[in-house]
Amino acid sequence: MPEKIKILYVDDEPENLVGFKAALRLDYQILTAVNVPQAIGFLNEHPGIRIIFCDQRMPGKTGVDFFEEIRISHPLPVRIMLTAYTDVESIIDAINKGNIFRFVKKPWTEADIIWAIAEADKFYMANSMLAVKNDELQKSI
Amino acid sequence: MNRIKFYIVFFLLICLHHFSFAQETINFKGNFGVIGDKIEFLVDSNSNISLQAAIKSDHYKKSQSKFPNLLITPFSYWVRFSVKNDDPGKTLALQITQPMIDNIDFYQLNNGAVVKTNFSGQSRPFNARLVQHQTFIYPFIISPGESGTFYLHVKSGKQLVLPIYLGTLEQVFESALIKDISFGIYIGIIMVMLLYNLFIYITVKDKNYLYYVSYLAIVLLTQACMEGYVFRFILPNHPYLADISIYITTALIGLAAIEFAKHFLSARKYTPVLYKISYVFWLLYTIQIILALTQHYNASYTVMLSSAMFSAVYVLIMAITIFFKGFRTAKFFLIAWSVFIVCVVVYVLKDFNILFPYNDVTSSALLIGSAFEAVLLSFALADKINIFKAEKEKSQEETLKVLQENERIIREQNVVLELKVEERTVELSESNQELNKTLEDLKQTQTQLVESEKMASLGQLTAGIAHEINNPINFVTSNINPLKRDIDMVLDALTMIENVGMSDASHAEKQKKINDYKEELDFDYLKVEIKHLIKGINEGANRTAEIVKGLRIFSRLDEDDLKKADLNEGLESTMVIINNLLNNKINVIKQYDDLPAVECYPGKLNQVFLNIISNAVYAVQKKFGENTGGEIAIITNHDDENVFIKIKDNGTGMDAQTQKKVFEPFFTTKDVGEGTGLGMSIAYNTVKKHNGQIIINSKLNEGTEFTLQIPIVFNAITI
Repeated sequence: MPEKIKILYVDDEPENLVGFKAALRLDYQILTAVNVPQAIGFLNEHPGIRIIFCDQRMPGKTGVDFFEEIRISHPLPVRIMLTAYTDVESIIDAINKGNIFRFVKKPWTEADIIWAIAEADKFYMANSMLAVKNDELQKSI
Repeated sequence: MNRIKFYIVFFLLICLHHFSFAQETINFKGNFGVIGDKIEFLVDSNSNISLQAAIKSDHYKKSQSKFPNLLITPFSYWVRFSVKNDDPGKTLALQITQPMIDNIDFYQLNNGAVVKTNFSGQSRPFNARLVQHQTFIYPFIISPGESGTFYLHVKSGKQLVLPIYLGTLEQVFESALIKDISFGIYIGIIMVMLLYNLFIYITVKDKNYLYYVSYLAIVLLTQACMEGYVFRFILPNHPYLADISIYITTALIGLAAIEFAKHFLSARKYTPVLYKISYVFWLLYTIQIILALTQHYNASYTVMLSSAMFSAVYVLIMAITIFFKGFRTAKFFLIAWSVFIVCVVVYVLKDFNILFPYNDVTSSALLIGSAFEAVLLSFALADKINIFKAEKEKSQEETLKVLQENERIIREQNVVLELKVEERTVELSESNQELNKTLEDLKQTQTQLVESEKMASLGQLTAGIAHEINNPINFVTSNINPLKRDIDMVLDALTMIENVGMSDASHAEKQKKINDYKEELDFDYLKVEIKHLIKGINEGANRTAEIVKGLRIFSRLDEDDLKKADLNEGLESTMVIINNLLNNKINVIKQYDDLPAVECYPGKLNQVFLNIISNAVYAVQKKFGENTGGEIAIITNHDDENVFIKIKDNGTGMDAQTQKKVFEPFFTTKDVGEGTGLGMSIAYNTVKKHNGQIIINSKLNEGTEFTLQIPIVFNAITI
C-alpha cells in the first residue's frame, strides 16, 4: 500500500481537529496540533509532512505569523489557510507574509478540502523534484 | 330945507372927524362879532405904564387884523377901544376867548371916569373874574346911544392873541355855551376812544394800546389845560399849578406822541436811526419843562411850539419811511398823523401869523386835529388787528399748505413703503420657504445618516454574527459526514459480526475473524472518533444556539418599549458581536457585579455598549497593533439609585480637545469612511434619554475610561 500523504492541521478548537481528522484519516495521515509549538514539534519529527492546514485566529501566534516562520524553517510543506474570518487585511497579510498556497473558508466542504489537498500535493511533488534536481546539480559542479 | 342939509353935513363932518382922527368907535348894532381890527394897542415893555399914562399916551398902534397877535413876548400891552351902543338893549358884554392870558386888567371908562374894573387872568385866582368861565367875559352897561371906552392891560407868558368879541350878554353867553358844548363833545370823543382802547388793551394786552391810551389821556389833559377847563374846574385856586401844567402837558403830549409812534410803527426794527433821533426830542421837551419851572415862560412856550412842529415832522418822516418799507400798519397811521400834523401846523402858524390867520377854526385846530387823529389812530390800531389777522391767516394758510404737503408726502411714502413691505414680505416668504425646504432636507439627511449609522452597526453586527457562527457551524457540517461514514462502518461491522456468529466456523475461528476485522477497521479508534464527532456536533449546535440567543438579546426588536433588563446580559451579548473585532491579542477583563434589573430601553443601551466597546478596541489596536498588551476591562456595579458600567481601555487615549468634542455629531478621529462619527452622539442621546450620565476619564497615550451611570428606576428627563 503506498504511504498516505502526511497532512498537518493546526487549530485551537479541538472540535475542528476531530472533524477534520475523522473525515480524512481513511485517505491521508492526519496529524493534528492544538497550538504552534506542538505543530513545530510534529514538523520536526515528520519531515515528510507535505501539507499544512492552519487556522488564522489563534491565541498566541496567528496562523499568518506561524506560516511566516515556517516558510523559513520548513520551506517544503505547502501552506493552506483555513479561516472563518474573511477580512481582506488578513488575506493580504497571509498571501504576502505567509506565502500561502490556498485559502479555504470555514465551514468547509469535504470537496473543498480534497481538491485543495490534490493541488497541494502536485505542487509539493513539483517543488521537491526541483529541489532534488538542484541538489544533484550543485553536487556535480 | 337948506338948514336941514347943513345940519346933516355938519353932523356927518363931525362924525367923519370922529372916525378919521379919533380912535375908531365900535358901533354895536346887535351883531355878535369880533372887534379885534378896531382896537389899538400900546406896548408896555416894562409893564410900568399906569392907566392914567395909558389914557394919555399917543403911541397907540392900530390893530391890523381881526385877531391881533401880540406874539410871545415878556411885554405887557395896553389895549384901547370904544363902543357905542346902537342896540336897544343895554347890557352888553365883551368876551376874550383866549383863556391862557396870564394877566388881564379890565377898565371901563365913561366920559373919562372909571366905572368898572376887573383884574383877572390865568395867574390870578379863577374867581377873580367877573364871570366864572374860562374865557374872559366882561358884561357892562351902556345905555343905548351912549358909548364907553375900554382899556385892557394884558400880559402872557404864552402866545398873546386877543380874540375879542362884542355882543349882548345873551349872545356872549350863548357863544360861551356853544364853546363849552363843543369842548364837551370833544372830551366825549376822546374819552370814548380812550376807554375803548383801554378796554381793548385789557383784553388784548397789546402794548400799543396802552401807549395810545396814555397819549389820548395826555391829549385830553393838554387840551383841557389849554382851553382853561382845568383852571376853571380842577385848580381854580391854584393859578400857578394850572399855569405850569400847560407847559408840562404840552411837553408831555409831544413825547407821548413820539413814543406812541415809535412803538406803533416798530421804529426800532425798521428805522433804527430815526429811532435814536427821538432822544433829541426828549431833550428838547425836558428843556421846555425846565424853562417853565424856572419861569422862563416865553422861552418855554416858544420851545414848545417849535418842538411840536419838529416832532410832528419827525414822526411824519418816520411814518413815511416805514410805510415805504412796506409796513402796512404805517398807512393808517400816516393818514391819521398827516391830518393831525396839518392841524398842528395850522395851529402853530396861526400863532406866528404865517399863512394862517387866527380865527375860530384855526384856534380849534388842535381840537379838531386831535379828535380826527384819535379816531384815525383807532382805525390804525384796529387795522393793525386786521393786518395781524391777515398775517395769521396767511401763516395758517401756509401751515395748512405745509401740513397738506406733509400729508401728501406721507401718503406717498406710505404707498412706497407698502410696496417695499410687500416686496420684502415676498422675499422673506420665499427665503422662508427655501429655509424650510433646506430644513426638511437636513432633517432627512440626518435621519438618513442615523439610519446609515444603524445600518453600519447592523452591518458590523451581521458581519460579527456571521463570523461568530461560522466556527460552530463548521463543527456540525464537518463532523456530520465522517460520523455518517463511521456509523456505516459500525453497521457494516455489526452485519459482519452477525454473519460470522451465525456461521458454522469454530469459536476460535469466529473469534479470529472478528478480531481481524476489528483490527482492519481500527475499531477502537472508531469508537473514540464517533464519540468525539458527536461531541463536536453537540458543541457546535449549542454554540450556534447561544450566539443566536445573544443576537436576539442584542437586537431587541422590541426597542421602543421600556423594559426591565439585566445589563450584564446586554454587555455579554454585545461582547459576542465584538468578538470578531478582537484579534485575540486583546485581553478582555470582565467584572460583572450582581446588577438589579434596570428599567430602560435595552436595545438602545446595547447599541451604546457596542459603540463604546468598539471604540475601545479601535483605540487599543491603534496603540498596540499586532502586539499583546492591549486590555479592555468591563466592570459593572451599582448603588441604590444607579447602575454603573465602566469600560476601560489602555489604548491611545484622548487629549482635552478631543474629549470636548467626543459627543459632537459627525466628529470622529477615524479616517474617512471608517466611521460615521455618530456613534458617541447617539450614545450620549440615549444615556440622556435614560436620565443618566456618561463620564469620560482619559489621558493621552495612556487610555480611556467611559463610565455610564443609568438610574435603576426610569424617570423621563426633566427639562
